[in-house]
Amino acid sequence: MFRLSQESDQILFQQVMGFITLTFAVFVETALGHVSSLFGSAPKLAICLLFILTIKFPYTVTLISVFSAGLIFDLIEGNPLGFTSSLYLIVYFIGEWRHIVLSDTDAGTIWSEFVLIMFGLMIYAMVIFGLYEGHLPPFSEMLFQVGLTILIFPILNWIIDLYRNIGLYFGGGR
Amino acid sequence: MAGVSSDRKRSRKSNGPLVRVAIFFVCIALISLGKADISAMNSIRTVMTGLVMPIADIISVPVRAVAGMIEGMQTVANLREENLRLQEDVKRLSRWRLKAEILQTENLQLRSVSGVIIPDAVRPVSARVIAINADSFAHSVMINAGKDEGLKKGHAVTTTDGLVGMVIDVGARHSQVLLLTDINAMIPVILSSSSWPATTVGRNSDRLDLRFLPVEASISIDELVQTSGHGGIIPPGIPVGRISSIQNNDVTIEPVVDLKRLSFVTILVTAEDPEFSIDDIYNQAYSPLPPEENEFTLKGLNALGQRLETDITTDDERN
Repeated sequence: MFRLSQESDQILFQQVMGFITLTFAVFVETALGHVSSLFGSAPKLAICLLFILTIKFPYTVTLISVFSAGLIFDLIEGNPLGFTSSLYLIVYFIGEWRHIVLSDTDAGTIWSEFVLIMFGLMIYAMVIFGLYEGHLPPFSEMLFQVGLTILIFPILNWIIDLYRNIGLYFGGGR
Repeated sequence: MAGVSSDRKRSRKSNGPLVRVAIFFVCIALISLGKADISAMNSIRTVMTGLVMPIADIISVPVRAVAGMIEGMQTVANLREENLRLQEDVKRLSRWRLKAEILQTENLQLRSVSGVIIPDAVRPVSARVIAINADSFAHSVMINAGKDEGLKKGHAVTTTDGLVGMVIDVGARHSQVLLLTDINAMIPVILSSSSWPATTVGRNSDRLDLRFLPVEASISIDELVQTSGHGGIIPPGIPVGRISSIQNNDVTIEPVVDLKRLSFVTILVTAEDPEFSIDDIYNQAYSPLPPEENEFTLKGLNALGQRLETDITTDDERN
């Protein structure tokens, strides 16, 4: 009984850490707007991180943390509330659906699936934005943002793999 | 390990498909409520933003520092070229200054003659930009000044170069500024050399569209566009941008302010309440009838256009 409680606490701790990591990524992503060359098209770090975490550490990410992280992003950026949350939820659902297959595959396969997801998200975002504003967002800026996100994904994936391998080496397990 | 697995299974079961669908629809509902522009929703949003912004401000400090370093290095690389250009600018500006002084004197003289009403003095408030949009869906920035500094919705936000946008949401110590490049930003303007009125419309990119320009208007590339003051929200005479291209009926403007490099802005806090009512604007802009009720403009009608009860007849009619 005591053991079960201790393990529950461990899972809760991992989920809290997952939420903090995701929220931190959201704050860093919004801060990237200060870099003039990334104005309006900063890479979607939180989406990269969310997808990687959902595949490699599936129980650290919860629905509520995904939803909250999206809301925080919308509050800072002035987007319609719920817009980014819906994007994050789509990534989370796909990650959960594919994590059994992707958790043991090579980085290239994960990346190629992420590319497809990003283009799918871009179309979804354009549709929602178009319905909301009655105009389509600037395509070139969106494409630039999606491109940057796709390019930055392998680097983040490598960093998280490194963290996991170090954890395995010193801790003997996740 | 078995315990962990069972916990995980429980955790997974608690987020069943229904919960997932429900939370996704909550997002869609929130987006729809945002579009409905409900005031309670806006108030909640303002309070929540006030809670989040201090953290965003702290986390953006190292990013701003790195961005500043990168831009500093680029500046050093271009220093010589910049120096030559600046020397040319100084010469040009000193000529302009002389011209401006002459025009200012002339302007004051003309105002005294024509009786133009000079708007109440504005109080400039400086603020730091704490979050710049990192997305292409909304062009807005957050600044670290709010109600405590006297800001209200509608105040114009500028830099030394020109107009940045206007305040659209005010918290206690932060405000959201809609940039003039946002798709929802429409600024009444005039062309500086010909005084033709028009409206700039943002398109969520680094350029603006010029719309509602009269067909007979003559425009030229590089012509300055400045605020007209129509509508009574943004003061007149603030530079907005320069005409960068003219293709058939599509006129594009390049903003004079580099919106990608905003760090500090000035908010023009007006003495009167900018949360305007449309009646006030009409009253200020156009008042065709004399204010006193007993004065009349047309025979038999008073100042409000009502027929007078007393019979007014001329001397000829009496005779």
